[in-house]
Amino acid sequence: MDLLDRYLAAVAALLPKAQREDIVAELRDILLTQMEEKEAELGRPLDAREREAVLKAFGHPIAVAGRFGTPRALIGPELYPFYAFGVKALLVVAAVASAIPVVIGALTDPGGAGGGFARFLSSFLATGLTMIGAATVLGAGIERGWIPLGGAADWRVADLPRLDALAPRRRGLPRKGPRQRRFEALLEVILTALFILWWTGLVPAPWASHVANSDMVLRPAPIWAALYWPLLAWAGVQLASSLIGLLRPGWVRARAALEVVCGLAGLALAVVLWRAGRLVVVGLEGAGGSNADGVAGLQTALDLSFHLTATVMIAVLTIKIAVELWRLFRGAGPAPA
Amino acid sequence: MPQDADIFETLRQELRRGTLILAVLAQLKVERYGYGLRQALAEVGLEIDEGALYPMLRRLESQGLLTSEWREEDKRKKRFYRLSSEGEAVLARLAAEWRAMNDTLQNLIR
Repeated sequence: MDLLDRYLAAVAALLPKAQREDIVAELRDILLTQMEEKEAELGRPLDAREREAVLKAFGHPIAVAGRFGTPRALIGPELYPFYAFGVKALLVVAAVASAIPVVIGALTDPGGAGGGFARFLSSFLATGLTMIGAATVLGAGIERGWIPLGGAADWRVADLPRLDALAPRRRGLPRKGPRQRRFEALLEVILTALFILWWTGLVPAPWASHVANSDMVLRPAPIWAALYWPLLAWAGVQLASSLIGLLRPGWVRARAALEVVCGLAGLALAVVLWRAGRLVVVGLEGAGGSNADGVAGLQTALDLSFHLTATVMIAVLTIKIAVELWRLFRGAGPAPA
Repeated sequence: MPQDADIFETLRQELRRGTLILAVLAQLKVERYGYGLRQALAEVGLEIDEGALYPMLRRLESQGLLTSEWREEDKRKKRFYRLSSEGEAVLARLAAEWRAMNDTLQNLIR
């Protein structure tokens, strides 16, 4: 097999079977013509090195075969802006999801916070690269029509969020920009999803149940068992609302309505928790009872702080419901000019 | 950051890309094989890279604008291309479009 045959065989291996023979025959003719022209120019037959130079100048077999295929990018220019936006959003999700367990771990067990950054980096790289890979496979599938978008590709101007990026800044508090609103919604989605996963036992709690440097342990009070389904339902509605804020920011009224529902449910839950008084029961690891004073002191402190927290929650949720009700009715009106 | 020369070269290639198809179609009113077509274009001042020409010929054929057949010439089988009847109609329309664009641009860049 001479160099030309070897070169053409390498190209042929990369061509579609149906056209292989035809394209290779034409390439052979082109290359032989080029070699003959060169020979006529030099007035002598080409040596092996000169023949190889002609083949090399024609292009690498992968490039030559690629020119005869259907030219198609993995992610085309039409899809690329959406792909790039999605990848950025996924990287934020990966960063936040990787940071939360590390931060909680550092707060609950300050002594074990040494490898925090390494744990974050390891988790972020693994999660981020997996997400980018999944987004690329999804994008390539959409690009090739394997994944039909159907109505998902449709959009309405009326669904765009009411942003103030072009409006003159008012005096007093600056308004939130589009990125800030989206980021908040994204953060809500991540936190609520993590809460649901933890609440349903699908992922372990990222904090320790025993108090650092002591034999005391914290156990959930019986009230939480009674609130299992109400809390799960509340988190589900919150997740739906956050997803609307992230994916359909123009649905102002739908989100406000869900936020009102969440706020009312949260208010009811806060009242129940306030009445229950005790949310965490302090106990001792093992059967020992040598630290009864410490247990009683911590229990009182926790009861007091949770009671205060529930009171603040009730106040905050009442304000939030009022704000969302105002937004619900303002959302019905025309957008400000 | 791209240099001025790179920017110019990119724009020049974009400008040429569409016109090359018109030139190829126009040259194939007469039957030619690939290499002969390339030489004919070079003689009128339109150099075209082989890597672009042959895939373009196949694409135009798959679109029904060209027909081709294998024939022996100079003791070697060669693939000859020429305009199909559909290709002639498309060439006429593209030529009219080109003349209109040319007239408009002549006025603009005068």
